[in-house]
Amino acid sequence: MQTRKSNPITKRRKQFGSQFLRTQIFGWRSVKCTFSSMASTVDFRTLVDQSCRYSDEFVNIYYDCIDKRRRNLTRLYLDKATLVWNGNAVTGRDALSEFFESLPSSEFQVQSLDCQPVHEQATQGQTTLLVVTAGSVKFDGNKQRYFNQNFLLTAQASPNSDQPVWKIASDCFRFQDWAN
Amino acid sequence: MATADDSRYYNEHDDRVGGPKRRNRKGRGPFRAPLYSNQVSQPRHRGGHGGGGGGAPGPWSRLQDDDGDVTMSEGPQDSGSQRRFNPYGRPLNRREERNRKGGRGGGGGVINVLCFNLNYVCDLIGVLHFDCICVWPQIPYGKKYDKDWLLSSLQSCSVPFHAVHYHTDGNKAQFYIEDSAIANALFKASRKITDKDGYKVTVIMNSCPPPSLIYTDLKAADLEHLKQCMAKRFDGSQQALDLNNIRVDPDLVSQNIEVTLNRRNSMLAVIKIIEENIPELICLNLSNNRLYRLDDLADIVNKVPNLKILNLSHNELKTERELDKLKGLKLVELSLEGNPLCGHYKIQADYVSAIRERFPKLLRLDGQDLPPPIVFDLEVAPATLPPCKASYFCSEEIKNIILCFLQQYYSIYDSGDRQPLLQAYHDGAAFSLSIPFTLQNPSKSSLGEYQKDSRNIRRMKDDPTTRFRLIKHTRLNVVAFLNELPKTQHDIASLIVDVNTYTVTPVLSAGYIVDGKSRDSFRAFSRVFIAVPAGNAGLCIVNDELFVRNATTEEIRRAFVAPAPTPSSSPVPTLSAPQQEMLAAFSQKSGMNLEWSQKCLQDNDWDFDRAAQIFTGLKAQGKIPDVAFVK
Repeated sequence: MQTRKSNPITKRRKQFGSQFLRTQIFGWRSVKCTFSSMASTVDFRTLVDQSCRYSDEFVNIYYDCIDKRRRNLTRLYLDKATLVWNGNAVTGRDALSEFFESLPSSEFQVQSLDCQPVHEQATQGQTTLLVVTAGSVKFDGNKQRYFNQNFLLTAQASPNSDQPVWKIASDCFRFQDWAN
Repeated sequence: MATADDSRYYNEHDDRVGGPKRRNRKGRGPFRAPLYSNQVSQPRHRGGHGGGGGGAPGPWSRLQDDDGDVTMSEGPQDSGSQRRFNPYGRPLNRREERNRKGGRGGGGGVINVLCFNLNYVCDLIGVLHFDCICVWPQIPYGKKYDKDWLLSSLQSCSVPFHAVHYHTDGNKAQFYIEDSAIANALFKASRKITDKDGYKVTVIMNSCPPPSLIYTDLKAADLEHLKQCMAKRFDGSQQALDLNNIRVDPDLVSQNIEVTLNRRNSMLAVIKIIEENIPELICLNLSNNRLYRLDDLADIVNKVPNLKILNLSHNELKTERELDKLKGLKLVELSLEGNPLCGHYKIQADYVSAIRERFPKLLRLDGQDLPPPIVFDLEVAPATLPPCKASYFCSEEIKNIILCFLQQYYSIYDSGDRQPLLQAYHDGAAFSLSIPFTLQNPSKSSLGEYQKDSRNIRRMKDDPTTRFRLIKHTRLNVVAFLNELPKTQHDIASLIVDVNTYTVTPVLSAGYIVDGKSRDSFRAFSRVFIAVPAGNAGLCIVNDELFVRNATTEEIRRAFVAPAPTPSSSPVPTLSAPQQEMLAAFSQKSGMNLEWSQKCLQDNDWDFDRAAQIFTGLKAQGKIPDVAFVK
């Protein structure tokens, strides 16, 4: 039983005022319920912070890789990952490898990035991040276009190291003007 | 009329002109001497001198044109050029000023002619770049002259010229001239014309930045003419466009359209027309257009990527560095002869290698074949992208579930009260939104209502509190927040949905929504739903991310045009002939499109009068959606 002093509600009330409190009461309770199956030390705030850090790093790595080290790109994907690229579905490492090779060289510019930790209900306990990016890209021989992209990153145990690695489980990419 | 005084003045002039100028007088045109003499003789003869120099505008006194390119000011590269303008501005010889002030009786016209090399001026002042040498003659008391008389007299004494924006300013008559050579000639015409009062018309040179009003963008009608003119000059079989000396094209001249490619507006307009109509262009001829710089042409690298043959001959490119702006074009053939830059190279090989540095694949320069470059056998990168397709659903089953879900979701979302959406969300759902980040004016975004909640974590690296605050957690918070977002109306037909299943179903949907507040705000959005199956073939959202941006004009045009697909699957029976006639008549009378007219008639058993009654009644109540009238 937590004492009043360390009750997260009062902490938040001091921070944000009573209006926030109303929703926070419910919020906190639901959080407690839904995350009860997870390790109790991990609260939503921590997940959000983590997701921001990881997704920022991921975006740097991914777009650098796709621009400059295209051959290595498929390493970032799970074996059974699926990419939906402007409506074209590509599944599996081999197909992905072929697909990325068929794309002309690219120059990406990410202009906005948002991320969320994915609810564990949807991931069966596997830590997953949703990463949403938007920006512009110029493929060689084509004009520059705006795009929207989202990724699901999932943490996997790695055979090569002690630490888990992030892998792309799904990737969805579309030009904003895809219909042209 | 003391001659002695005259000479004194002249002497003074000489003094003022001073050492260096005297030294270099040989090298210069008649520029300075007549100016001074005109300047000073004025008060002597006419008792006063109006705004000749005094009227010179401020900006040019700041000018430091130390580039020797201006023909008008060949001469010392030192501050002499500064001094060139001095007589017209402060500081002035006091006597000069005194004489200048004071009333003047009628005076002969003194035309101040402004001349300078515009590109440099503009760099200093930072206005739009113009490249013509603009001369601004001022004619004090020129107001009294009949414009036609004045211009034709000047022309008869010198060379034909085209006076741009002739206007009077106070007592002065001013106009602009584009060519320094013409300006020189105009100088020589100074004091050669006698007006009807017996005074001599004098020409004085002044310089000023041209007001942007004389270089306005081409109007839409003019653009249309330009497009047609370009169409005539386009050879489809060769994908070649010939814009040689386009300025004097009779089609344009007859319509009084000024297309001068060394001006930014004209060049940009031309590139836009190429981009929109013939982006596959291979060969472009821009010779004889007085191009002195290629900054405005630089866009062509992105917009006309297939360009292989470029003719820039007989222009005014002074340095091969201009070509750096076109780097990226995979030119195979280039013509540069007739440009000043060609004279820089004594050795042909140096010339070729300098050009090839910018265009390594070049095979033909100035009409001469070049030895082919030795390349490296790299894999040829493909240039074509895979075709873009519409929505991707993994399977029919999923498609139905999702479409149904989205229909329901958006009908509640658009309804004005989003509270019922609570049922669509999981207890622990999370939501955040983001908008495009633009460097230009990041604070003033037209996505106003969305901006304060936009979560772009790249911009919030040091602010974890805001990062956390902007993500709405638990369905109560999520829906409460959604209720605060602007009212919308979604164009469901425009939704594109990509489904990716990885134990879950993330959904990317892009479509168009209209902001409730102002009917003009069309937005486009991209939304990611991560949802888990729930209940009877339903979905429960656990993560929701919304990206909102402004819709492009193309998207706006397409939005809300197609009638929303109704979920009913009743097949449309073929109509008999009288039914078709009735349908056509009904559609015409009611204004609705055929589909909706047919529905109305069908619902009323093809009773025309009854259908009409029902229609009128519903219309009066405002129950008929706009989409019914879109043909």
